[in-house]
Amino acid sequence: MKKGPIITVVFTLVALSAVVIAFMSSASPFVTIAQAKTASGDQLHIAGDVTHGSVVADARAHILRFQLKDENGDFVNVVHTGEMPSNLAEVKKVVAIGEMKNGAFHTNKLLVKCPSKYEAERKVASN
Amino acid sequence: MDNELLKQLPSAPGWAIWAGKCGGLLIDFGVGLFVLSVILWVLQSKKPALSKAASIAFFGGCLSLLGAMGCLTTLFINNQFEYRYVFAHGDIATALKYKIAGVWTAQEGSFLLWACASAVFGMLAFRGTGIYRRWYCIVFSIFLGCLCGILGYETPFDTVKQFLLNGVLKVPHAGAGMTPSLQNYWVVIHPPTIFMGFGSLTVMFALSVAAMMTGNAVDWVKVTRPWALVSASILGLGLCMGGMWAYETQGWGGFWAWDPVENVSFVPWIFTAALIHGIIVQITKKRWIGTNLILGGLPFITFVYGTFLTRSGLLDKVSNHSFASMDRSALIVLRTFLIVTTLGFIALYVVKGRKLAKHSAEEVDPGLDRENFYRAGALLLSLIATGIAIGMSWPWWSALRTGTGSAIEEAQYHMVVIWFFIPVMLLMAIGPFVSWRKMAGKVLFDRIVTVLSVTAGLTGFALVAIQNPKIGVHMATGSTVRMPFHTHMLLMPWMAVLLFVCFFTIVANVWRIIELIKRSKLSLGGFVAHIGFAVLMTGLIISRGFELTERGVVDPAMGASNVLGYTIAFDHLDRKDMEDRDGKVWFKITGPDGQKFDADIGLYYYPGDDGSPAAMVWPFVNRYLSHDFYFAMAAPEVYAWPQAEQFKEGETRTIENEMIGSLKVTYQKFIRKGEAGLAGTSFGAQLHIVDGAKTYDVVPSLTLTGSGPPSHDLPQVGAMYRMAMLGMDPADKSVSLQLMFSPPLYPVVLFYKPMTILVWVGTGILTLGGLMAAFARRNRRKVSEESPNESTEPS
Repeated sequence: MKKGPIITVVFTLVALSAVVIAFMSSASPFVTIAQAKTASGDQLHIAGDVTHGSVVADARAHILRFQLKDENGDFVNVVHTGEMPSNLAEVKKVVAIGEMKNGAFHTNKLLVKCPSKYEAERKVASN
Repeated sequence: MDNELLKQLPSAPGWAIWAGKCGGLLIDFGVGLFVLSVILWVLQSKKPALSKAASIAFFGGCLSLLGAMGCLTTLFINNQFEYRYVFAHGDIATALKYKIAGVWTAQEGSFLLWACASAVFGMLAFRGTGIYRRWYCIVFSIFLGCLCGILGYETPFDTVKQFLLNGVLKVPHAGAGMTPSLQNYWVVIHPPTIFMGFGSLTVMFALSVAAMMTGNAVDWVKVTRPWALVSASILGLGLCMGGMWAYETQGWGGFWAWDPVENVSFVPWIFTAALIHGIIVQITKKRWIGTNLILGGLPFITFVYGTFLTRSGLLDKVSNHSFASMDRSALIVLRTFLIVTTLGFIALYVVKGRKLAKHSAEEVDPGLDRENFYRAGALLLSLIATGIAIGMSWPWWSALRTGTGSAIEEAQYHMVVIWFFIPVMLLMAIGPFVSWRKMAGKVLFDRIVTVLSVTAGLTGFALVAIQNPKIGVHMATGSTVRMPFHTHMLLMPWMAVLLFVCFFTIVANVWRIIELIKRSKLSLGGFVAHIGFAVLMTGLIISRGFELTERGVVDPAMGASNVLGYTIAFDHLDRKDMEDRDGKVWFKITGPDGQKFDADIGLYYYPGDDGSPAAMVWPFVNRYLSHDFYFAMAAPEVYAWPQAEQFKEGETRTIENEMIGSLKVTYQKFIRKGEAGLAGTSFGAQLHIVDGAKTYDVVPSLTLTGSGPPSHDLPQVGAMYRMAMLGMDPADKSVSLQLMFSPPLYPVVLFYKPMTILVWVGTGILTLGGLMAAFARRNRRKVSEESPNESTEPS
């Protein structure tokens, strides 16, 4: 048998295994607020809704504080010290990435789940 | 909606009712015509005379889709808000270009755009399909028929039943309008471009299936090649446009975030690039027949899979991104199509493709020849695409496995992809110098040694220039980048490696163009595309790797701020009112070198979900040959007290926070002027405020109006604040007070992004190269419709 196809198959398997192992070892877990309170790690992801009226921005100190509610109905206070989202008012949901410290979730990365062009909310009923 | 309000609205014009019905009917006709097309093309093998009728059905279905798009666009342009989709995404106040763009800014319209783009390519490629026409049309018709089915459930032609009064449909004065961040000129041209790219993928898939069904896996690559080149060019251009939209609107100073929506487009593009190189090998050496049959199907299948992933709601709970769930029946159609297509394609390859693959010329052993370079390149490209597809699916797969899911971040994608990127760039640089015959390593080295020398010189020059105190970016010494296994590497050596491979590709391909320009022009497009890709990557690597950024706050009351060596001073607000979409905040900027210029950041407010004003901000980008000055802003900070404070008459309290320090407020007396409950009556709170050594006596008040919310008088408190009385209780004379910045604070972030111009230049060269290659490889001769291989096709 020719060497070429064997080398190709072996290289493919090794490369894809390396990709999967790399992703498995570094993927950041999504947790609920209840799980975050007992979990360790500084790359925890919590997805939830920003509680209306809870956003407090301290522009001089570059700190954004708000309350997050997850799908289980649990709340946590979030202290964000990273880049300020420019259009927070447009945000429906956020993913806060960080760790629990002194009862609050401290994050320096905030992913805003803006309505994308694929999101079509049916605000009005149709025929 | 209230019947009295409905009575005041105009009735929907007859033509609009007709246009909506017509649009819906055209979708239904589309389903019927594509089903008819499939039936007639299936029967055509026994009754060749049916070809004409089958072609008419196919073209009729395609034109129906274009007609439906015309109807929807007409409804948008003419503000027919009685239609749910137009009401949700159109707005009377927006410019014509955004009314048109509203058509494709949501799920239903983007499906229609995909269908139309596919239909256009289906018709354009039809003529050259020759012996593959029958199966080409069958596959195309099944796909477009399914899209029509999805559009039947996810129709943009539904009317709003609340707007119906006594059987008469009423037209609201305005629609909800499209998401503010989408109101950018890129959204006008980016979706049509990238969806044309998506549409073109179907041509390659249909021809691959047709090749297997007809048993002729030789000629199909010649038919497919120009379309694959066009597809890669348009899709690549669309991807770059999407990156430019993000750069100019999102305010985070980047082009690419490995968003699932981006990955869904990127994976098919990479597979298409692999197919283009596979086709060259098949045409030249008569090998890779099986590989190309698979590569022909993968771009389309991975795109349908990505569409299913992003639009099914599967990523919603675990992804960083927000996606809508599809209509359940439409989702069933999409899911069934994906499963049947994927399994059908695999089964077809196992049953027929493998037999055809055996007709390939005998494989060669590894060694230094062009074919092995292409093999390595196609393999690496396919592995990159597969790796990204795994990362894209990871949140869903991990959620299935663990119940909670996990995410792959931008840095993790970079760490994985970079190890494939470096060898791919080396292959793109060395490949053009390798001949189709085996060659000795020393001969190859002799051919590229000059190119290597020039590249090394260029890389060294670039690194010296970047660190030059006058023109460079003054990177902090010791800056590092994250590497696998939780290690870090110094930034400069890492950037040197990345720039070297990019420059190597550019120099090598320029060199080959100079060598070949008089002998053979056929290959020039490919070399130009390689140069474009390398220039684009150089721009992305330098602008991100050597990016400098700093945050700051511009406080108009305190004067100019210094951010990243730039002096930034608030100048003025330029707007008719808060909701003026052309509203700007102007700043005076003085650069580190003393250069002065004005920067305008777009700012307007729109009613948020709770009715309160929500800020929309657009960054300002000043483009220079050497760098981009990227100036973004968060929503202006208005509240000096984060929350309103309740005071009782006679109460004294000291309010403290990190932003303003300490302020002692005494609420001395409640003041009412006029009769309670009557318009014009005002309520005020006499306050004595102590701010350090300064004292202020102010009376914030609110006045009842005849209709609508009360008007507020906000007295100035020193140079920096105003006091607002948000509410009061006349019974106990308690008031709700809030201190506000006057003028507001502007939280800003500044990026210095070197050589970003290369991203634009590279995009242009890449597209030009792709189109040059497609033009050079266009089909000059039709593939015979009477090929002897046709007899092998099963009836």
